[in-house]
Amino acid sequence: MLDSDMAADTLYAAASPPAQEAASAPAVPVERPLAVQFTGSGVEYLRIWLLHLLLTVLTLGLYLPFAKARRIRYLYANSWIDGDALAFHGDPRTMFRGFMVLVALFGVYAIGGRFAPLAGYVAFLGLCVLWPALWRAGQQFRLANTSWRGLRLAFRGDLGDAYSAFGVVIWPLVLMVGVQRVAEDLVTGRVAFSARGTPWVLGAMAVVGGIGTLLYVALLPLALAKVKRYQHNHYQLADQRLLMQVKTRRFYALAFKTLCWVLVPVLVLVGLLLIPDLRAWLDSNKTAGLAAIVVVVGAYLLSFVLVGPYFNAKLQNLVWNHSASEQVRFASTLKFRSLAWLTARNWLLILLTLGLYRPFAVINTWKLKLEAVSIHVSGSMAGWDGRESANYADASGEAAGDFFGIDLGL
Amino acid sequence: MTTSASPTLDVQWFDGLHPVARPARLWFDANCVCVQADGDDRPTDYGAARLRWPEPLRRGQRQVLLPDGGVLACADAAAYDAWLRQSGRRHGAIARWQQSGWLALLTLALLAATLFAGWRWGVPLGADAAVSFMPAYVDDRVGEQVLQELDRHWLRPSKLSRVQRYEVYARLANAVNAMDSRALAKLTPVELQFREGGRHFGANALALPGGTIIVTDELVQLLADRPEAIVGVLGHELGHVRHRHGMRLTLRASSVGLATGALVGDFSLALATAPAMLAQQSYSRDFEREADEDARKLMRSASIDPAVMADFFERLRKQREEDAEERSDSAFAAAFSSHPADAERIAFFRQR
Repeated sequence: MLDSDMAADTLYAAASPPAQEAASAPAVPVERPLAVQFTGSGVEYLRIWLLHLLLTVLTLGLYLPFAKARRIRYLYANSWIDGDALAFHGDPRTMFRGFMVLVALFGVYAIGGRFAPLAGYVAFLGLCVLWPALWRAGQQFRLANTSWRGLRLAFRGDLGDAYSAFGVVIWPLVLMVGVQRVAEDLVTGRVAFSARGTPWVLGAMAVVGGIGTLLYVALLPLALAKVKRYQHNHYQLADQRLLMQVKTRRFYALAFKTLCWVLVPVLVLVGLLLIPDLRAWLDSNKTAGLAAIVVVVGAYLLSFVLVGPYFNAKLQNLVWNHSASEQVRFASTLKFRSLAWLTARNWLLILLTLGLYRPFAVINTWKLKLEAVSIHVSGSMAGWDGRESANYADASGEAAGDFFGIDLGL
Repeated sequence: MTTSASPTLDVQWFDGLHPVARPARLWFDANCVCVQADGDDRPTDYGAARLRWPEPLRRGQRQVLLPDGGVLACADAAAYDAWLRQSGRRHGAIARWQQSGWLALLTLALLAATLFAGWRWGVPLGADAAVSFMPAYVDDRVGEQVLQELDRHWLRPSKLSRVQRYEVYARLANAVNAMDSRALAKLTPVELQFREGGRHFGANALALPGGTIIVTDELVQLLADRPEAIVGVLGHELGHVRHRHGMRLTLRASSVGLATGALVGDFSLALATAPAMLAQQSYSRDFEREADEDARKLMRSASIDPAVMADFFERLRKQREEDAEERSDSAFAAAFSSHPADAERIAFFRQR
């Protein structure tokens, strides 16, 4: 064990009960940082990834959950916090069952919608209704199967809260996508009303769909705030329950700034086209048309390299800098510039190597994101009681795995 | 009590309840796995229970996951591997495979071979089997939709006279009547539709799923002085209909798209759609050959020399070149509009 915990270790080895230990702790607990380090290697991960890809292709995708479990174990075993790595306990066979359920759900949605409109609608509604439950199950499974120093993490959010967090956007989403799909089917004649009624129905639907879209966009940051709060307020390790305190308006500010980054490439493009000489040259020259296409595609790609990393970096910093439990505090200093640069480099190399660089990209992105986080603990950890989270993990983790093996980011 | 001769490994034992490790030793006994912490007077036996062993990572922590939620951690990878070897055990097959650089190269080669085989034989087999299970009304509905789309955006009503249309019907009917009964039985009923092809389609004939064949005005005009060649063109389209090429192509191309989407999709749409487009081109060349065979058969049974098709292709090529010059597209379009397969097709129809 590490030096600063030595005293606590000896105490624990002497089997002193936690209560006494807390009493003997100093009155003002000293805060100390836990070193966070990632030691994964791109080459090693490439070899793992290649074999998994081969097995997945040979089994027509059935190996996917097993590959997933192995890959999570690899990433975890290389994610060190204070001298000990995370461990993943997920049973791939449980993940396989959850995977099959998901495949069936999405399969019905994708294929059913093509041949019978009604089946498509039902499957879409079903997905919307089930989504919060599925998402919660995924969180439960992932957290309950993650341990550090033998202590299981837990996700304690209940089902009602999941629905109230996601509910904000699900109604407008149903309006928007539902209306869009019905309108498509009307226009292509797959669903028909009387000839006289159709224009009216279409008009009304355009209004409803428009309102749905506006609502969806306007409520998205609120939903993000609610989902992140739901997520971070229900993480638990031993008796340390996380609490995130971020005002909703900070999510709106983040969304607005992200939108500005979307506009940058667009404005650059418009600005370029406004230069009269350049336009004349484009109009006259034939190969210039090709160059213009390249520029537009370039701007499109640039927006991905800028917008995604900006949003992800700022979001990670926002939520982790304001998340803390009684004894643990997080700080995240992920730099937008580093993430954007890394993303651009990853994309370029993935394209140049026809995808073979992907495992390297996964490793270096994970490293950058993880090592940007620092963890500070005040007082002694020796008294933490794993039963607090483990009991809960036992109850929820297994059942949840039946649904879901998918990870949802870091 | 630990007077066993088996090699032991020093580990940190986390019991799953407290964040503090106890130094412990791990060893294999005759038929059990034993863990004993310093200070315990007897080892814990994890014999029959399911333990999960770590993979040989270069720098990661070696973790043995215990069924009771505990973890045995070993930071010294070399020591772990040495202990495993001395105990007469090995890492699992997949774990060992993952370690070797040469096997990784072999994996890459196998992967490329598998993907190629799947693309060349697997997808066609699977998609064709799926189509053969698909009821015919699916073809009909898809065909109807495609026709509606074409009419809305690309095609105009035909300006051919009734006489011109009847002549096409008559030629097709005569040719079909001349077929022997066995070949006739294989034919699917079709319906001819006349449309003006315009800028986009020009002289052309299209077979839609379900059996609708679109003939453009420009095609009839192009063959005004060689009307028997239309039998070859219609025979080609009849072949497409008989083999359900439209549905098969759609399903093949979309399953290639789906597969590449699953492999690389989470990062680039362009990379995912390119193989689907390539697949479409490659598969459609196979189908063209098959349809050409049907066309040649129909022409022979109607006592028309298939060599007239060579003339037809020549005219088509000339027209395409003129169009390209007229529109004076970029070098881009010219590269795509040249059909190197023409020579091969001409040779095919010239065969005796």
